[in-house]
Amino acid sequence: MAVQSINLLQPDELSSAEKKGAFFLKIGTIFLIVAYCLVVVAIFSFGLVVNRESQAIADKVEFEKTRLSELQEVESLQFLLKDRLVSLAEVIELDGLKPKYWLNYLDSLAPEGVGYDSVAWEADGTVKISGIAGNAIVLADFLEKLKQATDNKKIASSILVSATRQTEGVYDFNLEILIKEQ
Amino acid sequence: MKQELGKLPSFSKANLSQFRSFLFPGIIVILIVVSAVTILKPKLDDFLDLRRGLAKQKKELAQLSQKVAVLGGYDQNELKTRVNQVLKVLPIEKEGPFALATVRGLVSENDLELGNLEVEIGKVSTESAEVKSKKEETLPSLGIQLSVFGSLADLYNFLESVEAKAPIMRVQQVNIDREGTTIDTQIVLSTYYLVVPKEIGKVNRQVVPISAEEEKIYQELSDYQTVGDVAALPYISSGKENPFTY
Repeated sequence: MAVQSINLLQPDELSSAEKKGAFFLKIGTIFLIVAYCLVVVAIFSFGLVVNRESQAIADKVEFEKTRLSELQEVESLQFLLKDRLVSLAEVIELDGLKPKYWLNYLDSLAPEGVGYDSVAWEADGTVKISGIAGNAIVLADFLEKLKQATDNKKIASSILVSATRQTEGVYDFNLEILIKEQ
Repeated sequence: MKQELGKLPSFSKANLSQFRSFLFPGIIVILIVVSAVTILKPKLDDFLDLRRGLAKQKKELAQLSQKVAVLGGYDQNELKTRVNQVLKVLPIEKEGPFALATVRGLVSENDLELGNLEVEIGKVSTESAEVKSKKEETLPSLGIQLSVFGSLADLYNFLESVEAKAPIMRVQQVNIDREGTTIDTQIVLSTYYLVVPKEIGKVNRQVVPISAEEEKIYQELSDYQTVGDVAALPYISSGKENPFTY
């Protein structure tokens, strides 16, 4: 009967494939550690840069705020001035309708023999004129001048609302004129 | 089958030696994952938040710098002069008596005779601005109606001068009736006012520079002066005891 023995000191012999595997495992682990460390360093460097930049900007913002507080009165004055000028732009129309100019102009259109009894001028450009013409010829002359003014785009429109011949031969007339903004 | 006694199962030993080689990398991976989740990720989030905040800070800085640059370009004394002139032209409250005095002064300056003179002040409280013209709905105004007598040339001069004085007035309507050599004229004027904006003094407000158009408007109204004799209205410190006596 053969004797069977147990050799407890026999070392584990690894195959070359297993050795290769263990080597790559070690290398992989080292690579992982190095990569992780690089990532950590990168993240903290990024944080440091951002922190410094943030601090620098915060300092600048603080400085500008201090300067701004010194300019507070200027700011209030500028805002008030701006606000008023914007509002005044609604009223001050630089090329708006000037009553003196337009009333003078309409007076200049009336030929000899035509007189106005009343003139009603409104800011929207409507003018109503009531008057007397000595005869039909001067009335026609007046209407011709108004037509020319309309053709020359000096006024937008003129409407003869009524013309009534009186017994003495004079004509009462009513006109509605829309003057044009220059 | 016979089981051999005193011998460990062979699969167990082989497995343990296999696991031993994975032990260190495993611990490393676990440490990396744990530290990444507990330390690195929160830190990274913080830094990214900080970076997002940085963009906001940069924007704020740019706005502040622009604001300071714009405001720094203004001369405070010049601004004060301009604001005073503008406030004279467009007062902060309804100044009915002042407007009436201005109209009265101009009528007399232009050799006209004044008939009646009315002002529609509306509510006396400044912000109620109920009396508005048809044309300008946004700017509160007071309506003034008056009738004058005199020559046509004087009337035309009055119409011109009333639009070139402080406080600002605009002619809304003119009805001229000729009576021989003189004329009877009904005039409707609007005078304007504007309360101080509520936003004044607020921080973080953007400064909008005065445009060329607004500069033109200022140049136009810089010539507007108050009528000489109404520049200083008499100041009455208190009312009378009995308002029903004259």
